[in-house]
Amino acid sequence: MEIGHHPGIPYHEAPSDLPPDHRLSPGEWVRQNLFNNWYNSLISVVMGLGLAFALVQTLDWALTSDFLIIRRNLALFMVGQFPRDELWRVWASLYLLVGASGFGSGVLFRSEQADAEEKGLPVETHSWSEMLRRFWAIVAISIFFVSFARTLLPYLGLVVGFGLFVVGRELGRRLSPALRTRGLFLSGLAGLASLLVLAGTGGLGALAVGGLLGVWTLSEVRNYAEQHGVGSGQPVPVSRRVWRWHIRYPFKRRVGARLASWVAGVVVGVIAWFVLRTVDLSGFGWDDWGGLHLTLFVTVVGISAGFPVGVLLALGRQSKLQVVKGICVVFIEFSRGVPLISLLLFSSFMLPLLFPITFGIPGPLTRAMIVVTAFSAAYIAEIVRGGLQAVPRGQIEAAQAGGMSVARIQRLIVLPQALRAVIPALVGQFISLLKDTSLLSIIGLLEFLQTSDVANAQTEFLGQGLVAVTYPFVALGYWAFAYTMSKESRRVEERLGVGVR
Amino acid sequence: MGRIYLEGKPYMNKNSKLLRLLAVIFTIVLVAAACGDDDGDEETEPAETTPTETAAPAEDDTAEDEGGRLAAVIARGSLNCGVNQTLPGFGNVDANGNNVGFDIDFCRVVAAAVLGNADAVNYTPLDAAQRFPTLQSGEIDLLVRNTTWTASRDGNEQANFMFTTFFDGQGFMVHGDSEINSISDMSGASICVLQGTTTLLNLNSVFGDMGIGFTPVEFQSNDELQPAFTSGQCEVWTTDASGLAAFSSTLDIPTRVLGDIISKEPLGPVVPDGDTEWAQVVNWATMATVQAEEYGITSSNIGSFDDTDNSNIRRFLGLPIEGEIAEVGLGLPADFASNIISQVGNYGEIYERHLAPLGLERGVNALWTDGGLMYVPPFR
Amino acid sequence: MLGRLLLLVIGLVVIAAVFLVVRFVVDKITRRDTSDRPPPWRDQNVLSLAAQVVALGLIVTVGAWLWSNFRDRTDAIGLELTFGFLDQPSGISIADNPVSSNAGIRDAIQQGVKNTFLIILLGIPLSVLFGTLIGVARLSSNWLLQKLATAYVEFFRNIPPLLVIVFLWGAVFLNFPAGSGRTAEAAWRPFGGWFIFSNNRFAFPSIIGLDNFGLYRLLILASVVTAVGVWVWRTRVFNNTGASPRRVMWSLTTLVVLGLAFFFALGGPFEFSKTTVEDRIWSGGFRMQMPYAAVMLALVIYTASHIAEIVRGSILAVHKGQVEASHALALNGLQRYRFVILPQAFRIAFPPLINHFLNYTKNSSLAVAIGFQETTSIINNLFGNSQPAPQLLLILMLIYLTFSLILSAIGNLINGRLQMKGA
Repeated sequence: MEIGHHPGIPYHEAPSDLPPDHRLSPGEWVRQNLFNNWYNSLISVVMGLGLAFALVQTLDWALTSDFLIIRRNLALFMVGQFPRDELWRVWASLYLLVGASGFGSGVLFRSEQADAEEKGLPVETHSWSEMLRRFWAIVAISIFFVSFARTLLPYLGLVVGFGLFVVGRELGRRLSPALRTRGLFLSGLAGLASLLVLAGTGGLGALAVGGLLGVWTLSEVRNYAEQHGVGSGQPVPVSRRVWRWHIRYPFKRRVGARLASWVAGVVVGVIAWFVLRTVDLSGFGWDDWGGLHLTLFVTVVGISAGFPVGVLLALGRQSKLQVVKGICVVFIEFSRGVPLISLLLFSSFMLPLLFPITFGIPGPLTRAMIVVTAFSAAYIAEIVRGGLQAVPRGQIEAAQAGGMSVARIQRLIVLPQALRAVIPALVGQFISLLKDTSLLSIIGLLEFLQTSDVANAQTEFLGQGLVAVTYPFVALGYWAFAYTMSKESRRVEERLGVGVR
Repeated sequence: MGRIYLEGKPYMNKNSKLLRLLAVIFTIVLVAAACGDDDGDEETEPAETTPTETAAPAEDDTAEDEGGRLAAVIARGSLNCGVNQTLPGFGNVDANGNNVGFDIDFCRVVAAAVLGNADAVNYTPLDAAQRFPTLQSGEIDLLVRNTTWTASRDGNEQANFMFTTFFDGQGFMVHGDSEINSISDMSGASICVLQGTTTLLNLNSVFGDMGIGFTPVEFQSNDELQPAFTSGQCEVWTTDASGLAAFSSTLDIPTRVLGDIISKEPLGPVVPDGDTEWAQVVNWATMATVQAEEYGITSSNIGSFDDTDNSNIRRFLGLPIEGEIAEVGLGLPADFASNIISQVGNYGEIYERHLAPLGLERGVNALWTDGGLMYVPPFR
Repeated sequence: MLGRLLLLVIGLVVIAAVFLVVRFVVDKITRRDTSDRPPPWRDQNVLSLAAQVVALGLIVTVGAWLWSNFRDRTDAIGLELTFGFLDQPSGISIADNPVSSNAGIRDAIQQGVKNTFLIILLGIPLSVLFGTLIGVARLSSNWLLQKLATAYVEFFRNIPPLLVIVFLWGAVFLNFPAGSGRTAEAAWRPFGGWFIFSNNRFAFPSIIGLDNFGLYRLLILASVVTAVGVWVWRTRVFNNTGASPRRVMWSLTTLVVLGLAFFFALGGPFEFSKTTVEDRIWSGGFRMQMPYAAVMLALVIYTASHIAEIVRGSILAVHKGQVEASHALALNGLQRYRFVILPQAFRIAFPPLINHFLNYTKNSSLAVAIGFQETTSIINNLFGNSQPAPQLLLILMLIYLTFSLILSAIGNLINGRLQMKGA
């Protein structure tokens, strides 16, 4: 499948001065790669027979199976019980997401290119065939899924989706350097907006978008202030004695600028939240979500909500405050020591008992997401801890000597380096969470795997042993996403040069 | 402390540690005391007050509780119903993502009666193991999930069982060519059964009493159980007779359903304990479907009863009798039965829609007039 | 909640005041020079102390709040928070296990833990073995083998273990001939019926002790000790003279000769036992349930795909000079792996392997899907049979936590031995 990066060439082959493989004649190639000694010949024959047998079996399965159950239930597999007259929400949010990720990836790509140019490193060139090579599994699986559709509309939808990605990426690559940060932010906001489209503008989505808008305003105001010298005060006190003279004019001015940015951020955030809420007070909610859509959603929420918690837990575990450290260690080790099933059972049996008796109880999906977030936070915490430990002590000591506060050292020196180093491991965590979401079926949520059960219980398909069709279908869905992510994580790993011993 | 100091140690060392310890202990004591006080108050209060004093607020509470469920459902505008999504015929999801099935229709019946809209239902899919904890937590108003009415469930699980909508019993199915003809042949056999169900408990207690050993093969879903049975991993499949009938007609191997029925399984809607008004509402809404079948009223011909002279039917459908509409005083609108019938249908229609396609005969579930067990009190 | 928070705040203020007063008094008594000391709100020690007190207070408050909610709700539904239910009859019978359904819940859970342990016991060594083979195959010079190993890894690593279990069970194990029926006549019995393979149970020959079996076991133990001694002796010979050690041959011969000699001397202290099926009762031999084998092997296949990646990375990380040196010594491929590469690779691979052992343990809870009655399966059954959920959950989590802790302790112990001293 993929050879390029870690060529699996054993050492006794490596120093060979033969010309590269592709110049060999086919006969020579076979002799050298399959039959170069007696045991390799034996292995080749046995493996070849096994492969042929497997291929025949697969072909037999593909040709003799009746895929009606999938054709009939395609929507069920994709979006579960999402109301069918609201399906436009799914498409619209998908387009927003695809366009935004195209745009964001374009901007990121261009800025990394610029970075490499500046540093005189080899510059990666953009090519769509390279993109296709990286993401072929997802493209193939999308086409495969859509091929079961009974109308033309989904085909059209798929083409539009790919088109939007291409347009977004091209636009992103052409964005002027000054606007890049804002462009990235905008694509993040569009990602959140896609959630809003899906879930309705009421509820949590509105809060998230309002909050993000608020943070954006805050940073814009602060940038403005810093650029115009409002916040540029004296350096931070070096020794404990200095605090006496530190409370002076610059400090006050900085406080003023900060206060202004905070006020502006909060005001904008609240207004955005309020407007969105007024549009649709109740929201649409996610209780009806299901299928592949739910699986991906829970994974993304688990990682992105678990990430900040995980970073805090990791910092807490490093803390010199024994109480804080103890709490974090207990939480992390507990969550990692028990199987996810038991935590999901906890969400279904115990969590409802922990809410005050006067309150309502959030739905099963919300509860499951609380638990999944806590679970992934514990794993992320351990990943981030690895990153934190990789940051050289000298950097922290230098920062301390420079008189930076603990919070600033963590925020400006340690975390940026630590988090950059753990990206591949985080993607790995994403993959394992994606696989773990299949357990939601055990507490009765209609995720991707459970849709197979449900479809097989329909009167029309009952008792025909069609799991032999639906399980491979579901497995391919999981596989395409997990495989692409794992390839991407290896790519990032190589580019960052981490993990190399 | 002072002594430590005179040794000339830096101030931050030992005495700081001592102080820290002191502070931490102090906090714990303080917080614990605060919490302990709260708990203590809650516990001792009723004991201190005289019985008459406690009676009054308690009554208020229960009154609020009892009025609560119906009022809450009406205020919410939707019914929270706990259901099954993987039981053929009873609770399932169709290709369009709608919950469908015999049990589901009784959620719709209650919604039609209480809210006038059969579609105003929020379905919560529940696992067999989850249903009672979920019902107890008050998360759902109604549980319609092929749940067997037993004394211990009525007693221990805080569940209140309503009118039985389906009379079932636990049966056994074997392969067509099997040499097993009755339970007494099953010694040592592998028996496929679903986890967390009364089926499993019945199996263990009946076989235990008869002194027959067997190998349980337990599964979480029929998706795995069914291939296990067809491939012969287990010789016997036991579940409710209705389920066996449904599967035996669709499996691609010859099967035989045995005559042995080892249990009575009355299945019906369940509500949380302690809310009489809500229980009555659910009960009468459910029974209205049977009454409608008895009267011969269906969703298609209900319009023709608008000018009927039969006063029982007029009262049942909430039509005015001599210009006056009779209220039954259940907290339901007078025309609840006509809402149910026009939006969902009568019992026979519901049965035909979901269970007849599986090849299930009416059997004991026929109307009492046809020799079955479906007999409801008069609607007057 | 609000009241509690208010109390907490007041309490913290009181603590702060008391702290400052005590410090002031102590300073006065000891006549300490405090001029170089920063004010309390800039003093690191004070701040860290305050932060800890606040954190502890918050945690305790939130915990107490949750606990009181929990008590309110459990009181409302009449749930007793005792463990007396453990002695009630479980109503569960366990396959191939004498524990009856009238035995206590405690016994049922114990059998579940035993079954979980059995999955781990056989599965972890097998997944290391299999993972190593695949990892080595990924670096094979045989193009086909290398590609197939890569495909294997990329496939199994990227689908949920639950699906791997269900696949393997449904596509392979269910397709064994049926093991049901009075004498399991359809089952596959290779080697004259000494082995039985069916989709119900697998059976292998085992040993039954006859007269003198206890003595024979002692003698075998002594033979093993002797064989080890021979091994050590041959190693010494090799170290001293450089003569070919042939340790395996020497030790094995010793063991076999002694074993046979004692066997005949004691007049046949044991015989082999063959599994027989009569009236659906399987007896004799060594039997395992099909779901056990399916779960265990499926998890081995899944875990091996992860272990293979670690092994491959570790092999690549072995210093190139080592490999070149082994070339110079004219070791063949197998020797190179056996004596040079793998020992070093394992030292690198072991710490990440521990993580996968833990994952394996946690994944064993997925056996619930195909009906092997291990801990999770049995406790899940009890949930359905109206046993108290909070206590059962606590027991379930503690069991897995214990497994995890024991396993990582053993792992760390082995790791400590593996790593080179002073490295």
